[in-house]
Order: sequence, then structure tokens, then C-alpha cells
Amino acid sequence: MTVVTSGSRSRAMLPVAAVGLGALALTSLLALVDPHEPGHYPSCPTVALTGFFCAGCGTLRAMNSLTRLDLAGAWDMNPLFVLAAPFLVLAWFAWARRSWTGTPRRRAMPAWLAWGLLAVVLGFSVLRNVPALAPWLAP
Amino acid sequence: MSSPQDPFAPPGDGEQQPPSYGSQPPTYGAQPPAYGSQPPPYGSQPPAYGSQPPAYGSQPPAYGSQPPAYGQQPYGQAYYAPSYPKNGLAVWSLVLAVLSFMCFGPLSSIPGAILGHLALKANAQGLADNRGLALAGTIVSWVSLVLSILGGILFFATGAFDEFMTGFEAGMAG
Repeated sequence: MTVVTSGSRSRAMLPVAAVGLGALALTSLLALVDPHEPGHYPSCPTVALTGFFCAGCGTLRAMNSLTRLDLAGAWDMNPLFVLAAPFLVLAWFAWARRSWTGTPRRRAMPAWLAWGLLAVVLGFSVLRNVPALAPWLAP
Repeated sequence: MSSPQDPFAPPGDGEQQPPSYGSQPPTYGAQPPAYGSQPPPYGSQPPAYGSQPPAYGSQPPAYGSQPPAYGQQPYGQAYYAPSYPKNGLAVWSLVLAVLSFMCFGPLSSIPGAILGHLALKANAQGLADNRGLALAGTIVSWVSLVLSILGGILFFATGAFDEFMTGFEAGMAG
């Protein structure tokens, strides 16, 4: 989108760099300050209010585990994030390349994929609150 | 980083963007000559005014054949250039709507709803062809936002906020 709206290359790369640096800063913070210990970060409003885990619960702890190369620990906290993380990184690199070369996105995300993501996120939210599945899916 | 690139970037983009618009510039480029060649016809038209009304009679079939031509262009261009430049709005709307269920709440459902409405407008203007996706993003964002507001009211009304803060402070102290 940013590419199509034109501008110089540096202008196109600005949001890419901002997102990349933001992700890097957040990852560094999570590597230094462990979210496994309570009190360092605000807790998820969903779980604080309802007692139910949302699909994002455990993401900070999973990121912290990943910075220590503890894949199993990350998986225990939020398997959905562990599965999504490589795609997020790849998507960022694809975005950076598009912005750098000035080629527009060939097509928008197909509708079925967006619907699928919604279904996966909502389904994951429900399933990780099912007591029988909690050992595998709950943070 | 960005300032050293600036001198080089504009020419590079200047060369690369016309291809990115793909087949549109040629058509735009072809139109001005068409307009340029029309004035001479206008000059020769006054004598032809008498013969134009029958020409108007023959135009409706011409209009009838144009819509299929417009209909074909988007499909042909879809693989090379974004003929629907605002399709991204609906996608982002639904992505933000999904994210709003992952701890982000109104931080992502409010922009999601705004983008959803912009996407619906773009669809109405023919700048996008994914009205279903735009509708989904708008509705899911609004549902999420209403849930957040209800949750927020409950959060403060039930004293969960105090509980949350004491837990937070206990964690900070410990």
C-alpha cells in the first residue's frame, strides 16, 4: 500500500524501518526483563477481567523464551505465536523488499485467508480455555 | 541512513514507478493524443451537426458494448498492477479486527472499524472489489469494540480494576 501511494524510496522504507526497530526494541526488552515474573508488564485485560485466556496470552513470555532459544518453553506459553512468528518475520522481509524495489504488492490477501485467520484466532481462544486441552494450549 | 539515499532514491523510484502502474500510463498517455486529435474534429463538426443526431441514435449500442470492456480490464490487470488500489483497506480492517481479540482490544478495533468504513466507501466508489471482506472487517471490529466497552464497564464496576492494580503493585514490589 505504501509503495503504491508513491514517494521516494526512503519514504517507503520509513514504516518498514519503524516496525522493524519497534519489534527489535520490544524483543530486546523482553530478553532483558523476564515477563515470566509477574509485575513487570501490564497483564492482558481479557484475563484480568474475565479470567479467560485470549489468543494473545503468553505471547510476551513466548517471545522471552524464544530469545533464549527455548522453543519448548515458548510453545508452552503460546503455540499460535510460535507458529506465526516465522511468517511474521518473512512478511516483514517481503514488505521490506517490496518497499525497496518499488514493486507493488501483487494482490491483497485473499478473503479466505483473512477469514481463516479469524477462525483460527477465535478457535484457539476457545480451545485454550477448555480444561481438557489446557495442559497443551493454555499459557 | 535515509539522507544519503535521498539523492539516489527519487530517480530510482521515478524510473520504477511508471512500470508499477503498469498498463495504466500507456492508456493515459494514449488519451491526450486522442483529446488532441479531437479539436480538429470539433472544427469540422459544425457542418456535421446536422448528421450528429442520427449518430446519437447509434451511440447506445456503443455504450452497451463498453461495460464488458471495463469489466475485462480489472481481471486482465489484476495479475500485474493493482487495478483496485484500495483493496488493502478491507484486508487491514479484518487483520486489525482479528488482532483486537489478542489483547489489543480497542487499540486495534477502533482503527479496524475506521479502515472498514473507508474500505466500504472505496468499494462504493469502485476503487476496491472486496466488499465482503470490508463488511467483515467493519462488523467484527464493531463487535469487538462493543465487547471491549462492555468489558471496560464491568472491569471498573466489579472492582476487578482494583484487584488488577493491587496484583500489579504486589508484583512490582515483589
